[in-house]
Amino acid sequence: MIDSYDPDKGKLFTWMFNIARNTAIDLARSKEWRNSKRNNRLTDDYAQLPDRSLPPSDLPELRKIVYSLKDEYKTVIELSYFEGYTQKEIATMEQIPLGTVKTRLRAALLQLKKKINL
Amino acid sequence: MDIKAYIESGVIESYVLGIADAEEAAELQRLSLEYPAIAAAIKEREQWLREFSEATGRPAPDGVKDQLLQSLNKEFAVTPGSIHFINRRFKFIAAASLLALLVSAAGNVYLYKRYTKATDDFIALQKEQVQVLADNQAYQARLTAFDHDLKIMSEPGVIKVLLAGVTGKEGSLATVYWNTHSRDVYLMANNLPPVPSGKQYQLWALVDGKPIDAGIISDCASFLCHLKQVTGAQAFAITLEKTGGSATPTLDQMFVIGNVKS
Repeated sequence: MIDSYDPDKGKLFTWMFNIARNTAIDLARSKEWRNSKRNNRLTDDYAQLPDRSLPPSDLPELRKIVYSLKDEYKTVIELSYFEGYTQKEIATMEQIPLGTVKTRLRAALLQLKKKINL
Repeated sequence: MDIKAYIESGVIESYVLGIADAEEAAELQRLSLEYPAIAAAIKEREQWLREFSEATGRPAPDGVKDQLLQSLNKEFAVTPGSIHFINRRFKFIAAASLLALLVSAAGNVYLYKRYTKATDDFIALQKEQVQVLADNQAYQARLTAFDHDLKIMSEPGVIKVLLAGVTGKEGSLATVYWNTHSRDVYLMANNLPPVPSGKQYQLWALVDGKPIDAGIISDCASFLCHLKQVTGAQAFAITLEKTGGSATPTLDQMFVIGNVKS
């Protein structure tokens, strides 16, 4: 896998960061993982839908800030960053144009960053 | 293009977080090569991501690192500790397999040597066969030529004239076969010294005391050469002349001469 690392395209940390994120999403999407969750609690199987419920209190810091964004921003961040859907898939799921997904995602990230840096 | 607006649009953030789509990523990579400001902005975002991750990230649960290293060890190293689990039966099978492998390897070497030798032999035989075929063809050609010469020599009206070496050229010998019916002259150069460069032997017929050109002699050592037609010759002689022949013979360069027996 290290062969796919291109130093021209970014830092090693960013590369590893994205591998970790993709691996986590793959695992969360895998049948095995969902089955293990299903064995515990049937109602937890909601991976296909954006989470619009109120944030549970034990969420990591970043997730909490995401939940503080307005709904349309929260949705695109949740679907893309945390659940790994592509922008095209999100456009289909949310029934909005791809351009709107892009605009919202970029705006959401800028706002998120502003909140984090406060 | 408004670089500042592009940098501040949020596209770099989405790229660094891995949620930009392929087109956006490609465009950004292309632009970062063109505009140092964009490349710097990417670096700055990456640094920010790292700092933020280290400041807020949750530490991995205890044991994850050990687990990871263990699974990596399994992947890269043959741990000596695992040999303890191998039982005697397995050891026996492994030893037998190794022995079989060695025997098989030795067999392969032996067979390979035999194979290369057989191949070499085959190539040698092939070369030999080609040589034999070539020789055969050469003999056939010579036989045909001899057959042809023999027919010429044995035709009715053919007179054989032996040309013997003159004084100083003793040992030189040539034979003329003269068909008095068709007037054709054939020559066999039985023994003539090698020709110096720029020179050729020329046959002369002596008719009533006058030398008449009877043809240039090329390579007539093995076969009969068909030369010019001659009428009423009393003798034949061979002189060494310049290449292409002369109109009159150079008498001090005469090698052989012989009279026609009537």
